[in-house]
Amino acid sequence: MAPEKKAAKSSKAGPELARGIGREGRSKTYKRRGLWAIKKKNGGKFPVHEKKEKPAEPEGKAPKFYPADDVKKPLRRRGAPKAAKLRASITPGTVVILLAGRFKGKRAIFLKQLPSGLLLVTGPFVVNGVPLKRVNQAYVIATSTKIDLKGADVSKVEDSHFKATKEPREKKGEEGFFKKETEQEEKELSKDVVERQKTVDGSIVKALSPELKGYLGARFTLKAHDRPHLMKF
Amino acid sequence: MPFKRQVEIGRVALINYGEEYGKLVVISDVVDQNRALVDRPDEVRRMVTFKRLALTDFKIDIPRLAKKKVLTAALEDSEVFKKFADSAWGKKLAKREVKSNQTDFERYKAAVERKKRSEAIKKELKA
Repeated sequence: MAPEKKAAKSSKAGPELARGIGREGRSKTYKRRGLWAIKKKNGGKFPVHEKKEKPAEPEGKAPKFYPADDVKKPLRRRGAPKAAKLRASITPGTVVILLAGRFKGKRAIFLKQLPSGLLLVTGPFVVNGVPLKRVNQAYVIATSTKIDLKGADVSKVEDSHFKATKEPREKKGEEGFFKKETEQEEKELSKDVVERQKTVDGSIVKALSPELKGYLGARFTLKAHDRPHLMKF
Repeated sequence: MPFKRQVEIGRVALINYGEEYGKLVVISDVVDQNRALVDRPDEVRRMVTFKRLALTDFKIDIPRLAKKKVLTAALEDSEVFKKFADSAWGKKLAKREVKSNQTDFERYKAAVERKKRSEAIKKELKA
C-alpha cells in the first residue's frame, strides 16, 4: 500500500491547492514571507552577497593521470559524540573490578564520570597500586560495595590530565649514534601527577577500614565452578 | 532394603527442576506411574512428573484430593515445612541460597575467614 498523501505541500505561495497553484496570491505571499522587512532594513534593497571568486585554475597542461576509480569522500560528521550513559550500578564510591589491561582483576573505587564518558577510578594507589585512571565502563564490573567519598575532592581532575605526552625525538648525529642503548634513564613522574594522586586519595584512604583495605588490595579471580553470570557482585 | 520414602497421598516432596525449583509440595493424588497431582497452600493444584520430584522424609495426614482448607490445616498442625527447614537437607539448601546471594565483598570476607581457620587448624595439628 502506498503511503497516504500528505496534506497539501506548502510552497512559497502558501499551502498548495493543486500542483503549482498556491493558496495565496503574490501580494499576500510577499507580506507573509517578510521579505519587505529585509528590504526595509537594507534601505529598500535586498542585500547582495558577492560571489566568491573561484581559485584561478593552474596554467599549463592538464595532468596526464587521473585516478581510475572515483575517490570516495568521507561523509561529513556533525557534532561530537555524546558521553556514554553511566550504568545505574555505578555511582560515586562504588567499588569496581577492572577487567582489562595492566590492572585487570584489581578492585578500584569509582570517583566520577569525566566529560569524555570514561570513568575516573583510583585504587587508592597506596592500597593496591592502582593510580588515578580512566576506564571505559564496559571494562568494569560494578560491585554492590560502596565507599564513602566524603572529603575527597575530585573536581580538579580532567580528561586532559591523562593525555600521553610526546617526547621530543633525539637528534640523530654522531653523538646519539654512539650513545649506549642499554642505558635507560628512568622517567620520573611529574609532580602534578603525584600531587593529584595524593590530594584525591588522602581522605579516602583515611576512611577505609582495615577490612576494606584488604578487600581493595586483593585481586579478583575466577576459580573452577565459578559462574560469573550467576554471581552477585 | 525396603524404601523408606514412598509415593503416597500426603508425602511432602521437593521440586527439583524448572521454574519451581526448590519448592516444597504435597502429593494429593497419583495420576499414573509417571505423574502426581501436587498441591501447596495458596497455589493451584497441578500435575508434576515423578522425575521432577524428590521425596522427603515427611508425610502429612490428608485424604486423597484434599481441599485447600484441609491441606493448609494439616500442614500447619504438623509444621512440616518448618521441620524440613530444620532438617539437614533443608539446612543444606538454605546454606546454598545464602552462598549464591553473597556479594563480592562478602565472598572476600568469607575467604579471609576460611584462611584464618585453616591456619589455626594447621597450627594445632602441628603442635
